[in-house]
Amino acid sequence: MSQELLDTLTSQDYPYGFVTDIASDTAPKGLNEAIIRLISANKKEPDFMLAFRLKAYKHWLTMTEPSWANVAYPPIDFQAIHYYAAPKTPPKKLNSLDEVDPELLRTFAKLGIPLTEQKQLAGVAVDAIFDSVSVATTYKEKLLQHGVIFCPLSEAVEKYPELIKQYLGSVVSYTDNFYAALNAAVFTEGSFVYVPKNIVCPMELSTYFRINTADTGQFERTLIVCEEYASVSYLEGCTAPKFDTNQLHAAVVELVALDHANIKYSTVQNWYAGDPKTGQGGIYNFVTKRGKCLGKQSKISWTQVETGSAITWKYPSCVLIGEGSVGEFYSVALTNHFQQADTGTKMIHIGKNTKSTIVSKGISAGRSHNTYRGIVQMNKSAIGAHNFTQCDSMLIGNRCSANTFPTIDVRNASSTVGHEATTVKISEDQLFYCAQRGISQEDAIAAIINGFCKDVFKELPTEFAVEATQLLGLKLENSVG
Amino acid sequence: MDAYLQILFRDGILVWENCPPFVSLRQEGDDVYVEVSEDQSVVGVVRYQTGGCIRWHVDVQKSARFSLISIQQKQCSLDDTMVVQLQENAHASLHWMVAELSTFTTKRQVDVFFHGPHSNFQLYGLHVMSEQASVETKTHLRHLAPYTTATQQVKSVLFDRATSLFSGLVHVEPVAQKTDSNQYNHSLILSDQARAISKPQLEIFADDVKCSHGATIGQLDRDEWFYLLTRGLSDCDAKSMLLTAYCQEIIDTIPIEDARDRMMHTLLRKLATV
Amino acid sequence: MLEIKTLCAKINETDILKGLSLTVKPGEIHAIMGPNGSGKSTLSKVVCGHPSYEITGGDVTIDGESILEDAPDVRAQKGLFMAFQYPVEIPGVHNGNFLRMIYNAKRKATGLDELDPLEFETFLQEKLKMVEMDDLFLERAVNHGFSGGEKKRNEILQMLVLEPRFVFLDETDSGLDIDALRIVSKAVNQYKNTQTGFVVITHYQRLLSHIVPDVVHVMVDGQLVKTGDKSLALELEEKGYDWLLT
Repeated sequence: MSQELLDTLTSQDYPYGFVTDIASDTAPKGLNEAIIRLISANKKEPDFMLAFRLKAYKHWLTMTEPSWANVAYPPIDFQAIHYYAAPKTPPKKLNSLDEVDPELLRTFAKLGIPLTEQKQLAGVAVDAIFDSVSVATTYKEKLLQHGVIFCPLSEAVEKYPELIKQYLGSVVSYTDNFYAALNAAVFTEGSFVYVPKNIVCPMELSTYFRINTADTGQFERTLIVCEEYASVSYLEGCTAPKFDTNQLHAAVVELVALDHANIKYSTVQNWYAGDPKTGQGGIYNFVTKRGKCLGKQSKISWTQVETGSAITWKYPSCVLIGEGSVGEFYSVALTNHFQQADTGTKMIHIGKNTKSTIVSKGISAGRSHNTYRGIVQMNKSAIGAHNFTQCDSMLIGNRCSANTFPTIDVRNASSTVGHEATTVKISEDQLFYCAQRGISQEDAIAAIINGFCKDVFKELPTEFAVEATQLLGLKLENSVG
Repeated sequence: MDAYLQILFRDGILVWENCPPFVSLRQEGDDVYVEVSEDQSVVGVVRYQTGGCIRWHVDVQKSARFSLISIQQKQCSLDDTMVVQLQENAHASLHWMVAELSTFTTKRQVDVFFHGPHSNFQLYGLHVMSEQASVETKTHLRHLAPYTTATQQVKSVLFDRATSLFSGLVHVEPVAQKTDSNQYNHSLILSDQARAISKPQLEIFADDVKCSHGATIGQLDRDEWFYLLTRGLSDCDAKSMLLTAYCQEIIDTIPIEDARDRMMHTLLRKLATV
Repeated sequence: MLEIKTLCAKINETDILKGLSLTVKPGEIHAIMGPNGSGKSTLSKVVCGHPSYEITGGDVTIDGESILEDAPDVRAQKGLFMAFQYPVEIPGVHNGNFLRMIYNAKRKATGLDELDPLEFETFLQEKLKMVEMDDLFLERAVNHGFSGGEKKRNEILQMLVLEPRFVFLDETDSGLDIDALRIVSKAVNQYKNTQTGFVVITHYQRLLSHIVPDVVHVMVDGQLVKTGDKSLALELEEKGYDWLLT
């Protein structure tokens, strides 16, 4: 590959780097008990929620930041972050979109998420979250008619406290890790989904997170519960403006699936990744995501396309408890310029005849570092359990790296695990072949990379598979020579 | 034609016979230094009569070849480390089988540095373990030059409460283009109390390489076993045949016929007792 | 008209083409034969713009205009096609989609609208018949897991889809059994027309019994050293190349 081709533009600027000019209520920087009480008060939370936060905060104070991941970053000053920022108007509760600040509506429209009634994405309900508050949730009433609850978490705390008490923190406890504890203390907003017995949610649900205020952390918390024979498909999207400083995104996502329930959770992540020339700025995406297959024959699938963030550190995982339950993880992680990713999954098999599938495709370009880290564990009780893992890495250029660190641990005589990993390159011969057939370099790269990621893209909901394909093409424009 | 070097290890001391003049071999305490001169070729067989710990330092010069076959003659615990330096076009291989353990532990750590282009390393290990035996294999290959190649194949068969751990790191530097490095770790778990852990790892900094790893943990293939039964073999004989076939792939790589036969004999004897 | 004028090219400091000249007019079939290492495959790759090769002299023109500054895909749009000796595999890329993609790229380059999948399907069926391939072929990834014969037939299928002006068949017959050879030759002969020029590069006379050339050239050490009619191929078959090397 010629160096000049490798070096030519990624003049494809991050198109979401703009800042929305809107007045915000922002808590002073710093983290202490007073700030936590302020957050809880602003959200008018009941006592049990404040107690949840304070317990987590006290525990967080005893913990140290983990450093085992294959990512490097300067120390985070947790006292230099705003833990709460909300647009001044409109008021917290909205009865109709007419009450939403038009500037906010314009922001989401610019991001491709129109919220006005006429232009709402058909077939997709959207919960739009701007900094620390939910701005609007489309189709909420229609879903309620089907029995499906889809609302901001703060609203669920108020309206459905029993469900929150039962399930919040049941999959990711505040003791789990440093960032989970931090999130449990300061989480501001997120989505709550509850699908009752036998209901198949009639539309795709989606939450769109937008960080706007500088120096804020994004600590959203999402909880999805599906009762027996229920199912839902959920998509998470996110972007942030271009700031010179790094911003912390420490989210927690908990999924609970009861007997025969099915949860599909898809993420297309395009947080600002930092300046392509200097690596300055960009989001730190430190997320804990876990699904508990509590019920028999339940199923949880994680599908992620990670293209943004300065640093991505996340392992969407499944704990397979119910007999015959199934966990799946499909991932494309793309790093370019100075990005770093340490991502993967944990499949913990506890119940009999549980099954898991992992397909991970890592693409590294520029000066980036891309690591897959995974654990497949078959406990003694996981009789007849089965896993298959395929990890493939593609390197583009000679200044990046691809690492694979899987761990397979089997503790019984009836489970089977198969694991394969390969490295793949876009060869000069492949590019020449496509060029000789009249295909431009960009189109050829896009076709080859899509071929590489095909097994993951086909798991995304149709509406977003196309977006993901285009996103990958944009991100890698002119990185291959 | 390869020169044949025989080494015996007993009570912490190595003694050797037939050491060819182009091989420099000396022991200083637990450290053993081996150097094979340019263009020369030697196969060494080391027999462990007692347990212990040896730190091997192997230097294979340009276009030289060094193969080491490790045989444990008595049940014992071993803690071996081996550091191999490969110059241009050099070749080294390591073969071992462990099949006599009851409560013992075998630890083996192998570090290989591919300094020169076109150097090659191969590693073949076989563990057939029962009772409370445990084996730990750690390998770290550092590809530092272009056109280097490596193959690692480690297989374990675990009965009773035996455990095996394989941790293999393949590291490829940016300058090591056209590296072709593959590692495979397979374990058969034949008892609910046994445990296998596999950690095949890749750290790749060069974009034009072929690196792959494969790991499987499971049991004997049910279809194959059923096929043998339908041909009149007893359950016991069928399992024995399948296990032998599973292990044969590793034993067949041993370059000395005598050593191969000895290992096969040991394997069959072991399989008859479990 | 395709003109190659005293072309010199090297790869990694080794000179391969040493002043090769060749003119191919529409409708003509040229055969190039020669011993191994003569540079036959290099010629097609250099003319089609493979980035590993550096031009050190001479020119290549289509209708009088030089193409040496053009990228490979631009040269393809100008009507150059090469059937590779070793077609590369592109795992994960659907063969049917790939064919539609290259066809639409050509239509776009000539200012025409792209065909939608259904329209293209009709167009493609006719071409599939010519290489005796069925729809299952389209479902597989490009050349991935294809046998040698299937790969070569896929190359010819692409040629039929793109309808190029100048075709280089680079040792298309290597690795082919009798049936595959028959199918490939038949398809080429069906496509043969007064607007298209062919350069058939081969080591053996066998293919030239099926695709009959108008002119036969012998390439030795980066240059064309002898030119004759189709009987030259038979002479080479009988005598080998040695008599030309002195």
